[in-house]
Amino acid sequence: MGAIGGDAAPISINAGALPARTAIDASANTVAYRALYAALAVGIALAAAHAPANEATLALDRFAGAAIVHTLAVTTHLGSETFSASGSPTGAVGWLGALAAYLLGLGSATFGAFAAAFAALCTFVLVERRARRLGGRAFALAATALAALCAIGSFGCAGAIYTATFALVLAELLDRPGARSTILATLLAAVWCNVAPQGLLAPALALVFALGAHFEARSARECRYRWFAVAGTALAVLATPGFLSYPPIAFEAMRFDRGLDGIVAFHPADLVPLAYRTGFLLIVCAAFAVGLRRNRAGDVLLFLGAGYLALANGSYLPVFGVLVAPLLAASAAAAFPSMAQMRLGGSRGDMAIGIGATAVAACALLAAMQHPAAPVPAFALAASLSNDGHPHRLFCSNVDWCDAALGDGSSRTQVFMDGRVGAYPQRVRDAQRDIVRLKQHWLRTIGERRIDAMLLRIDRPLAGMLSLSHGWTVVASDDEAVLYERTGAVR
Amino acid sequence: MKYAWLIIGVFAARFFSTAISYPPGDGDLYWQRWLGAGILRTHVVPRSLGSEAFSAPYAPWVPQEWLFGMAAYAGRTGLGWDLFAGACALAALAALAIAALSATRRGASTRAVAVCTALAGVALFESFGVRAQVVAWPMLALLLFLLEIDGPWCYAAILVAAIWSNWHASAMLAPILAAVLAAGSALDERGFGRRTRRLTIVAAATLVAICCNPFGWDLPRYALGLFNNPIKAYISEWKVTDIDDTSFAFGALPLLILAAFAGVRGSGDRRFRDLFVLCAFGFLVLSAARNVGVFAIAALPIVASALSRRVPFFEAVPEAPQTKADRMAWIALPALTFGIAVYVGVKLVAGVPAQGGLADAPLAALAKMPGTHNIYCSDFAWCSLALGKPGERVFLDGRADPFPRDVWEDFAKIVRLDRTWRATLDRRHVDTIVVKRDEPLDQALAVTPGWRAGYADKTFRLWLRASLAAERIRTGT
Repeated sequence: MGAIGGDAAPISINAGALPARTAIDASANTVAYRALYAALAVGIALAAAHAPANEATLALDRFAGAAIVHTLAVTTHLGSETFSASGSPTGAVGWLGALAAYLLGLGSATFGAFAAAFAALCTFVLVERRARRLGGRAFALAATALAALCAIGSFGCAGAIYTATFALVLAELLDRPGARSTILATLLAAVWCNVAPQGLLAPALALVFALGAHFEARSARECRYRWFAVAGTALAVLATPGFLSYPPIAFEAMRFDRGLDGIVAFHPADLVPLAYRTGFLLIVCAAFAVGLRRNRAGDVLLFLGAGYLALANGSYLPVFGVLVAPLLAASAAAAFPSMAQMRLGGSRGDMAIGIGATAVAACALLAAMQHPAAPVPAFALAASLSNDGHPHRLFCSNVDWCDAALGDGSSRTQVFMDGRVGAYPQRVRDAQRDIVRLKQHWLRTIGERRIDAMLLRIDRPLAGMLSLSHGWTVVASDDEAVLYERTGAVR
Repeated sequence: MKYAWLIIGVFAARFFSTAISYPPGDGDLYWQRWLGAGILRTHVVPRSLGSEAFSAPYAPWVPQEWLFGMAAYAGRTGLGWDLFAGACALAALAALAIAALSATRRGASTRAVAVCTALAGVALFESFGVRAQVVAWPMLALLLFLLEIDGPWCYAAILVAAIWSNWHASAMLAPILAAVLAAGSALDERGFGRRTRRLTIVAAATLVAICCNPFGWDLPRYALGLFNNPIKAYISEWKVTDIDDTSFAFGALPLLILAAFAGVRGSGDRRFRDLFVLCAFGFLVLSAARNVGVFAIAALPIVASALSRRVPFFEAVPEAPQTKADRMAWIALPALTFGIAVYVGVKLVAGVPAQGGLADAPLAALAKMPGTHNIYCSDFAWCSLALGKPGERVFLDGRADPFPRDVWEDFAKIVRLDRTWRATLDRRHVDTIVVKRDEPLDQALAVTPGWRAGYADKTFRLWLRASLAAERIRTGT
C-alpha cells in the first residue's frame, strides 16, 4: 500500500489486487520506471565520479587533518600558517570532516572519488524515496532528476553535495516525529556540526519543520516532538570542540555575510552556472505549474528557506534541489491525481537497481582513474610555492588558492588569508579586499605585512599594477593566475 | 482596484520626483539627445557610427531609440524637460495601472491587486529613470492586456507592437509573447480553437509589425543578437540578478515566490497561457537585472488572480451595489493620490540636489585644450558627453551595442590592466584618458612614462599623452 499526499485526501494503491489488464500495465510501467531509475542512478554516479574534486576544501582538510593526527588534538585557533591572524579562534569548524578526509585521502584519489559517487548516489536514492513517499512514484523520478540538475557542479570529492545529503537525511528524520527520530536528528546534527560549518543549518531546518507543524495545526504530540528536535539540534550546535565559538565562526564560514563581498563569490551564476540555469530555473517553472500544496505551511517555509539559501550563496543550490523537488512531486500528485495513481510494482527492485548502478559506476570509475584529471592550475602554483623549501609570506587574490599552499603543515609558507574566511578578523578581511581592489595604501599594506609572494588572477588590475611596481617579478603563470615574488626574495 | 490606485499614487510621487530631478548617472541621455538632434537636423536616421568613434568608425548601428532620442532632444531644458521626464514617469505608472486593471479583469480581489501592485512598483524602482526602456513598459503591459482579450480587440496588439518597435528593441518580445500565448492557448483549448487561431495570426502579424520602423528586419535581428552578445558581460545592467538588488529582493522575488506558491492550477481556460508567460519572464528575471521590471509587469495580473483563487485571505468577496459615495471614491481617490503625488514630487525635486557621477568637469576642461583628442573613458558612458564636440573622438561611449567585440575586449584589457594594456593604448591611438581618481588605471598611469595629468578634481583625473609621445602615436612612428 502506498499513500499519496496532496490537496485531496491520501490516495491508496493496492498493486496486488489489480484486474488482468491493469496488471499488465503495471508490469510495463514498472519496467519503464526501473529502466529510467537505473539510467538516472548510473548517470548520477558517473557524473559524481568524474567530477573534479573541490581542491580548496580538500587542501584545507588535508592540512587540518594532518594537524590533528600529528598533535593528537583538535586545533581551535589559527596557527603560524598565517601571519595575519595567528591565534584567532577557528571554532574547530569542520574538524571531524577534515580528519575523515585526511584519513581517507591516505588511501588514494580513487577512493575519494568513489566516496563522492557513493554519497551522490545515496543522496538521490533518498530524494527518490522521499518524493515517492510524498507524491507517488509517477513524479518521483522527475523530482530526482530536477534535484540532480541542481547539483551539477557540486559533485566530486569534497563537493557541496555532502551538505545536501545531511540536510535531506535530517529532513527525513524531522518528517517522522517521535522520540527515536528526535534523538537521531539530534545526533545527526551533532555529527554534522563537527563535520562542517553547515551543521548550523540543522536547527534552522528543525525550526522550519516545527513552525510548519504549528501553523498546520498538527497534533499536540507531533508539535511537541518537533519542538524537541529544535531544542536538540540547537544544543547539538554546541557539541563541538569549539563550543560557544562554533556558531558565529561557522556562520561566517557558510559565506552568507555580504561583508565578505570581494573576497568570496556568492552568486549561483558564478559558482554553479549550469545548475542555476537548468535545475534552479526548471524547479521554479515546475513550481509555477503546480504550485505548493494548499494548507501546507511547512512546504512554504521550506521552499522559502531553501530558496533563500540558494540565492544567497550558490553553493547551497543542491540543498535547495533535494529539499524542494520532493515537495513539487507532492504538489504534482495533487494536481494530476490520475497520473499519481499510475500502477507500479514493488520498490525492492529499485533498491537492487541502485546497488547495481553503484557497481557499474565503480567499474567506470576505475577505468576513469587511468586518466587522472590535471590539477587546477592556480592551486598547482600555490602548491609549488609551498614545496620549494623556502619560507614565504603569500597573498592570494582568491583566498581559496592559498589553501593549497598550506600543504600538510610542514610547509614553510605562511599565508595572509586562506579559505577559512570565518576565522579571520574583520581587519584582515578589509585589508584583503583593499589590496585586491587597489584601494588607498594597498602597496604600503603589502610592505608593512612583509608579503613577498602574491598569487593573483591574471585578468585583474592588481596583477597589472604589480608588474608596474618596482621590486616584483613574475616567477610562474598559467591561464588563470600569475605568481609574483619580491625581487631578491630567496627562492 | 480602488486600493491599487492609492498605491499607484504613492509610486507616482516617487517616479515623478526621480524623473524630474534626474540628470542621469549613466550618460545615455547625452548620446540620445545628440542622436535626436542629428535626426532633426538631417532628417535621416543614421545606420552607422561616424568618425566620432575612432575605434570603430562607420561600424553598423541600429539606433533603436531614435524616437526617444528626438523626444529627449526636444525636451532637453526647462519646461520641455519637465514634460519629457514627467512623461517617462507617467509611462511607468501607466504600466502599473494597466497591469493592475488586467488583474481586476481576471477576477483578482482588491487585496490581491493592491499587494501585487505594491510589489510590482517596488520592482520598478531600480530600473526606473528617464530611459527608453521605461517607455516600453506600458507597451508590454498593454500588449499583454490586449492578448488576453478574447475578441477582435486582440488584434490591436499588432498596432502596439508596431509603435513599440519605434521606441525600443524590446518590441521583439511582442511576437515571442504572442507565439507563447498561442502555444499555451492550444494546450488550454486542447486543439487549434478560435482563440488559438487568433493568437497565431497576431503572432505572425506582430512579427511583421516590429519591422515597421526605419530599420526594418534589422531591428529584430539586432534584438535577437543581443541574447548571445558577449558585450553584456561588460554592462552592469546585464549582470545576473542578485538577491542584493533591492528591486529584486523586495519586489520581483516576492512576486516570484507567490507565483510559485499559488501556481497556475485552477486558472481554468488560461492555465497554460499563464504558465508559459510566467516561465518566460521567470527565465528573463533570473537571467539579468534589467528584466526585473518587465517580470513584475507581466507577473502582476497572473499572481494576483492566482492568489485570489488559492489563498482565503485574498479571496474576492462579492461587492455590494455601488453607492454614490463609492462612485465618488472612484474619481476622488485617483485625483487625490495624483494631487499628493504632484505635491510630494515638487517638494522632493526642490530638496534633492542634482546627481553627480558624470565626468562633465574633465571633459569641459578638455574642450578648452587645443588640438584633437582620442578619448578613452574608464566608464564608457562618460564618453557620451564628448559626442559632437569638435576635435573630440571617443574610443567607446554609451551607445555601447554597435561597437564591435574587439573594441570591448580592448576596453576591458585597458581598464583591467591586462599584460598588454599599454600596447593596446598605443595600438588604438588613445591619447586622452578620463578616470576616477585612485582607481587602478589612474594609479597605473601615474607610474607610466609618457602620460601627464591635464586636469584633476576631487573625483576625476584627465590624463594626456606627453606631447612627443602623442605625436609619435598619432603618426604611427
